[in-house]
Amino acid sequence: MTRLYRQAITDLSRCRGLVLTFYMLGLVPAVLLVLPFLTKITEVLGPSLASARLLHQADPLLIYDLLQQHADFMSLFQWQLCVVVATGCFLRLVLTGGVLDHLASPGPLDLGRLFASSLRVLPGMLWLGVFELAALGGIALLLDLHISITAIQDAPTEWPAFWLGLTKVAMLGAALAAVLQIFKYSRILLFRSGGAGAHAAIVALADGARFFFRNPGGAIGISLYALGLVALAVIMRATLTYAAVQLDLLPVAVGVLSTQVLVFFHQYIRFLNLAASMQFAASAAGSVETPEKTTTAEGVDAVLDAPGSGEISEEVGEV
Amino acid sequence: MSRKRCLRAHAGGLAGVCVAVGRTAVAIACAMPCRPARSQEPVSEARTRVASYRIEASLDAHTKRLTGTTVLDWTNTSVRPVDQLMLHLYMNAFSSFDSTFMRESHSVSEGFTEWGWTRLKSVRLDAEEIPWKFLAPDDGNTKDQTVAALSLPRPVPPGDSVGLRMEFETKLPRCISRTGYVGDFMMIAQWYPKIGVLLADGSWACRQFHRDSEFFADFGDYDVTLKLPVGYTVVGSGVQVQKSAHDTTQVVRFKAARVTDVALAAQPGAQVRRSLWRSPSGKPLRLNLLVQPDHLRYADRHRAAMETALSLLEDWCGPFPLEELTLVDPPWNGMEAGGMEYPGMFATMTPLIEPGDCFSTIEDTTIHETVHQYVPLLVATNEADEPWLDEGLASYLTGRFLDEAYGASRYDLKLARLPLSWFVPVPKLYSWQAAKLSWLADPEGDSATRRSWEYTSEDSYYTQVYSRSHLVLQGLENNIGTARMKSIFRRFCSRFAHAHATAADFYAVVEEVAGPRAREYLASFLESSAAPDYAVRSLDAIDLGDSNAADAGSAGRTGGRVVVERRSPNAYPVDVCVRFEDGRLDRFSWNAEHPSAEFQYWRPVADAEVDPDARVLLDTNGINDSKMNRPDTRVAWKWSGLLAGLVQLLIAF
Repeated sequence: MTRLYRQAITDLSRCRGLVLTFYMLGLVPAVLLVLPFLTKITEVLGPSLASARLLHQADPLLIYDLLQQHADFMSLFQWQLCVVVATGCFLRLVLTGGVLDHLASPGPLDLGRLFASSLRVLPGMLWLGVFELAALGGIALLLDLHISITAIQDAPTEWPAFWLGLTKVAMLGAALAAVLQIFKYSRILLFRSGGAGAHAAIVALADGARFFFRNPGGAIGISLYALGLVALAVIMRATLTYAAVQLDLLPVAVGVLSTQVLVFFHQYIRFLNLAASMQFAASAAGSVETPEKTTTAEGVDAVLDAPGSGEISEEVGEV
Repeated sequence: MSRKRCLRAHAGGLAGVCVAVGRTAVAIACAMPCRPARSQEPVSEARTRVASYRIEASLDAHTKRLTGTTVLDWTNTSVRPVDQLMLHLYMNAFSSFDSTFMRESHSVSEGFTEWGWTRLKSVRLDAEEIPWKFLAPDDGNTKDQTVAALSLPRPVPPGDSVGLRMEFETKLPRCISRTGYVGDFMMIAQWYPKIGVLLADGSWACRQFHRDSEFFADFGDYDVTLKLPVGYTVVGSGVQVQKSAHDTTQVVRFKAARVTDVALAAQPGAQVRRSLWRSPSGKPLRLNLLVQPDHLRYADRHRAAMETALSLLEDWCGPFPLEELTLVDPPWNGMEAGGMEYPGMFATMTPLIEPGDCFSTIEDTTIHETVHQYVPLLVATNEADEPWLDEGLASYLTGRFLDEAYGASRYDLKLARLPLSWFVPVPKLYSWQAAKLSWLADPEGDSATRRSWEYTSEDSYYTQVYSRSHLVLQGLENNIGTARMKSIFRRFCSRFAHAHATAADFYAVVEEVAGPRAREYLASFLESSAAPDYAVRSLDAIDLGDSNAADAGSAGRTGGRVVVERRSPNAYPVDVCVRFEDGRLDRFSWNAEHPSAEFQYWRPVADAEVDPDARVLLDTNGINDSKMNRPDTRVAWKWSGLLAGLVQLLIAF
């Protein structure tokens, strides 16, 4: 795993433009969205003594007052937030092909190539997006499913119901992680196959699922590794913020800046995770051939375009 | 009943804020309950034994049926002869979806099939059979059978007594709304024919059983004998005076003196933890805890909560009136029976997991039900007509005791059946803050003083009866101080012990102890459905050189102008605190007679705040309570920065 990440870091160091561009792509809409919020909060809270109280602790009553007294603004803002997030997610999906292409052949960012690669596999990516949305929706519905088993409801102790409920959540959590990882591999495979349309997406999805289930350890390891890094960053930021608030040291500007550092780090880890996944897909399949040399687009192609390219995952799975 | 079904400010005297508000005072006087407060005469011994019962019943544990006989000894305490007696048959609320209770309930599943009922087999007066019929005095629902009227062959003169012998059969429903069974556990409550309350003027206070209403009864002595299979552990109201077993049957007998009800709980093989506790004044009290095996690790928390409540209650309300107090912890799937009080016994609630810094179920429920031993069980209030009087007072005292004994608590939020506070920081709240959050969800529409079945929704009932009352009483304490608040409760509980009390009685005690302004405060905020909002509308610098009022020497200097306003009809005086640039303070009371008032100063004003000591806890907007001359934008930047970061995280590639 460490070797995979080391290689991914090397690749990513040659894609600094990509990371920076996508950081800016997130920053700009976020700032545009937040500006009216900033204006409103300044107008409402600025002149009130409540602002001093809210600076150091989240007083639920004052926050509730704020939300209730300005419900119209908050409602509109909520919609704007949803639109920005949905648009951002869609844009992410649209540009997936270009990003994968760039990660496969690291170097200076070529926007023309990025868009061209994106367009090449766009229909397939959109189909994968639809499938992923449906899968996530299904998991959400299952989470809300009330398990009604008379034997358990009449049990003299609550523990069976407790463990059943906890198991349900754990299984759905595992399913969520698996779905996210499977779709990640599916996108990689779709990009490599260069296919477009629903059929290509379905094939990629089947291959991605097969690859995931034949290499679950690596897939889970990659996810956990990335998750651990992000969690570490969040914990560090939370600890620093808590300590700073306690000591009344952290100026607001430093707080905002530290948030941006966290966001940038998170963005970097996401790319790292993607690059490592590509490396893993390549190395898992390529160990039969030359895994150390599968760091370029050609290398990945060499592995993934092995005989029986429509059954890439089977090849990979045999490793 | 528990509010589960469902702060600190400086105390100061009212003297400084007593400004007459003529128009408001008139309006409040008209809105006061029509029934006048009673005199201060002590309750006579005879009045504490109006309805006494001798009940003999046998329990079929398999069919969950109780068959038995009740001998009721009832005295006419009114000024008129009575030829009709009114009976409650509460269990019939659960006999079908056609009962008034079920029609008003929206949370009962349509799949509910394990019904309960009470059937009167016969009623005899001196061997003479008495006819009866069902009545629906509140809503005319002909299918509701929770009230029965007995026609006596001859009127009972004032002061006379009659003895009625009633044979009845009761079937327990699956646990629903305070009573019933689940598995082998049985909460036997509201299970026998129970006479209504005859008021002094000869009218009956005998309401149908409504979704949110509770109970109202006369005091009396109870002697209950129950036959049931051996192996069952039984606890109940009063003192167990007999326990014997013959073959497969055991007989238990409970006696309770001068109480308004009796309930029992039975469960095979249940362990009861017994202990003797001494109050701060040295009075001994036996504590019994029937705790489910799942919850044994929380037994000590329940006991500690009981002891905490009893200690504080002795200080606030006087000595505990009974010899024993029994806690019943229903099983997890019988929580519908939990959160309910009976004389000398109460049913609490216990979650499977409640962290040590979270008191919102175990301590809250146990303390709340312990408080109910005083109101409405020692001081009997009409819980159907004036639900705020028992639930409001109990909620306030519960919150007060929780905050005093345990401090702020995290709310018991769950994530995947595990405490949320295990994963993310959950802020700690004092009880009044939790009550305010609950109230703010639905602050307007109903007052706290409606009859229980008149609320627009179940949520509104809980919000107003529990939370609004809690906040108003806490606000009253912030106004008059803790010592006088304690005096109010002690006098109220002492004067109306083993008697009926109304809201007018409570108001009268408040006025006696803390003056008319305190009474006005209560009435103003309890009886109004409005949501008060006091605000500092504006704070400006003014050029004294332009002011006509300025003296010659002030030309060119800057002063300040503060405009305060109230945005609701509740015209209650509040303090205003003005801080000047040079650090000096001007603190005064604004009578709030007019919707707004303007104050001008010769010095520049730094900031101004209305109600700085939170004496009107119902204020719906804490943000507009103050204004500064120099806006502080740090919070806006901090929150915006965090929000931008969150958006970026969500849309990151």
